[in-house]
Amino acid sequence: MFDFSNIQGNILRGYASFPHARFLYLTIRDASDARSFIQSLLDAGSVTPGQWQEKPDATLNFALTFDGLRAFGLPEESLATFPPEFREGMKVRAEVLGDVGKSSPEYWDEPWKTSRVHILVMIYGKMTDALEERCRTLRQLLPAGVTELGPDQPAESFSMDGETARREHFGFADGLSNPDVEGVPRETGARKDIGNPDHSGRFRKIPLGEFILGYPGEGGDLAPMPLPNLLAHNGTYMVFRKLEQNVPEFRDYIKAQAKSFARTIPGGLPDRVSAEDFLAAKMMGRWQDGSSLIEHPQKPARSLANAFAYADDPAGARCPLGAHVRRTNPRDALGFGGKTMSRHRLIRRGITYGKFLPPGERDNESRGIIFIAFNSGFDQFEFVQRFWVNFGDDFEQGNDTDPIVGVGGRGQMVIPGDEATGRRPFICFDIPRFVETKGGDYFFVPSLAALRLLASGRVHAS
Amino acid sequence: MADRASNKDGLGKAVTFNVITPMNRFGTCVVRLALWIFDRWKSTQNTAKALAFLPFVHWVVVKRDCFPRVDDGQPTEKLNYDYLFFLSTFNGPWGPYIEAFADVLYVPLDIVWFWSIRYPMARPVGPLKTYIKRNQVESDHSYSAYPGASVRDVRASLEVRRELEQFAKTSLDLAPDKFATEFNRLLMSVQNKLGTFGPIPE
Ligand code: HEM
Repeated sequence: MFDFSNIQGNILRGYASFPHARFLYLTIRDASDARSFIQSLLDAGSVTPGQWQEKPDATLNFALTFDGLRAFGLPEESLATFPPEFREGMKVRAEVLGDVGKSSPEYWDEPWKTSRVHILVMIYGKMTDALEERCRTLRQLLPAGVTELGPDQPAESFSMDGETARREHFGFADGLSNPDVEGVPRETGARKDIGNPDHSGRFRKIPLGEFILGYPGEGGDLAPMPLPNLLAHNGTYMVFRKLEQNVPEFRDYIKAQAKSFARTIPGGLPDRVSAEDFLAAKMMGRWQDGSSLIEHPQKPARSLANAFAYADDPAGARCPLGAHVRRTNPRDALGFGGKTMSRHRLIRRGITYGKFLPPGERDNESRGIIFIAFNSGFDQFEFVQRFWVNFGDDFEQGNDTDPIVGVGGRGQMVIPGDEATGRRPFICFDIPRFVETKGGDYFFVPSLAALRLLASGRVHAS
Repeated sequence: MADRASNKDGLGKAVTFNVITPMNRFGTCVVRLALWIFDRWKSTQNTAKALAFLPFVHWVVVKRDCFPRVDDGQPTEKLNYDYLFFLSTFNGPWGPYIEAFADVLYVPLDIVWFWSIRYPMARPVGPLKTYIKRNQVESDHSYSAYPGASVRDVRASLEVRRELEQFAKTSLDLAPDKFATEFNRLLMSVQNKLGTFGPIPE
């Protein structure tokens, strides 16, 4: 068994009930100041663990970049044991991740563009006042040797009237599907975490080691552990990306294609479903209200059920092979009892930033998702990003990229036809890039015990 | 390094992969028998063939006194072991390739490699990766007829071509509405074989 109270919060269980968030970016100028800062927060019990006795009004968590660990005074022997992607950081990985063109680091927002963040402070609140209060106290505690890099990043989840699920800016319910992890009670409500498929077509829980360091993962393998053990154990790696969504461009594109798409449906559109909604759902793989195209191929059903599988839809008549959710978690679609996909899962804890743009309106505000994903090695995220989002070979899509978040740039997506209903195949051409990267980095999220070790300044690699 | 063929459009999709491991004499006999069985009963190859990111795998036993020499002037080496050559090409990154290989094909891997000195077994995959790294030999040169194509691309293109040629023959005299129906049928039959094609942007 593992100790939930030693793992930081928002990793194995999400902060869905804390809809207001703020991310502060710190840089360390004096290591001993940084240590006493962390020590004082630990002493005050301010760092939120994965399990609490009494639910707090606001939460506080820390993550560090490689430069941050170095600025903390971690000895070189220990630094050298961290994985290469983490040492390099996200900026250096730009090409690999498709952060090119307008997404390349020279166009990123501050502080990402000119600095390297050392410490990421993540604060979430049930209400805005609790959030503000927590930010204020934290800022008051900052010693001279630890300074803030501006601007901070506010983020806030929003939902449609009367709905429990959160939405993202393109209009889809989000935060629905996450890995079902061994030893972690399932999240409550209609949402269901989903494991990895086995040979019998059932889903099994995923070993903890895929997401937390120090435990066996898929195939019994242990992810490479940085040294010393106490520093790595119960920690994890976090991908933090500011992804800006071009909502007017997305809506314009869908609108422009919808008419021709409607012509592929012989009997006309299903009742109360617009061609726009149908087409957007085909690109995402779920209807905007979150219901799955596998279970509800003809119209949305206000269902957040998540235990669907793709094996019965091999040609993608219901959910296209290139749809966002089918790419990023192909479930049983690739066969082999899930063995070729099982090591590429991510825990996602993203949250939206910016104001929701009402349909039909346009503005110049920026909006998007603070994409947050946890994995026990950045190879998990990078595989999904490189080979599933920005490439299509595994899904018989050649070089076609993800229609929602891929680098694409005038790419295409085939929406397979459906023999059952007579709907003909449709190809979306010239898909623009709807999502641009505006910053981010690779972070290490230490356990509470490891934070204590860091604060003590007595880290030895052996 | 030439593990991937390249041309003016960029790097090819397939990566070459060579591993050479020493074996004892008893192992040589067993491996030859195993390879003969794989060869004789093709159904033993079905799983490997279904792994579409894996165009090609090949094992060869080279006896200790059979290593090629440039010419007779090159002295023969005195080797203590026979050697097992493993040659393959794959699409995608090295790590996940080894992982999928070990997760899916661990039985044949273990049967063939068990006899190699210090082989750690296919699972867990960590030690296998270390073992392979230690015994992997880079290609000096690799050639690919279609650097911009993966195996899947080639298979898909061949199928599209076959269907299209067939259609060209059968559709010559069709009336417009019948032509439309048949064209839609064709499109449906190749719909998941129409992905864009070319080198991977790197
Ligand atoms: C602004 C960019 C993005 C948007 C708007 C977006 C939107 C969505 C939506 C609406 C869902 C379905 C709801 C759910 O399952 O929670 C989803 C699922 C998912 N997305 Fe994204 N996403 C974005 C970026 C990414 C990126 C960059 C990745 C990975 C590299 C990713 C990985 C996933 C995964 C793994 C799932 C769950 C699939 C499943 O388990 O069925 N997303 N996304």
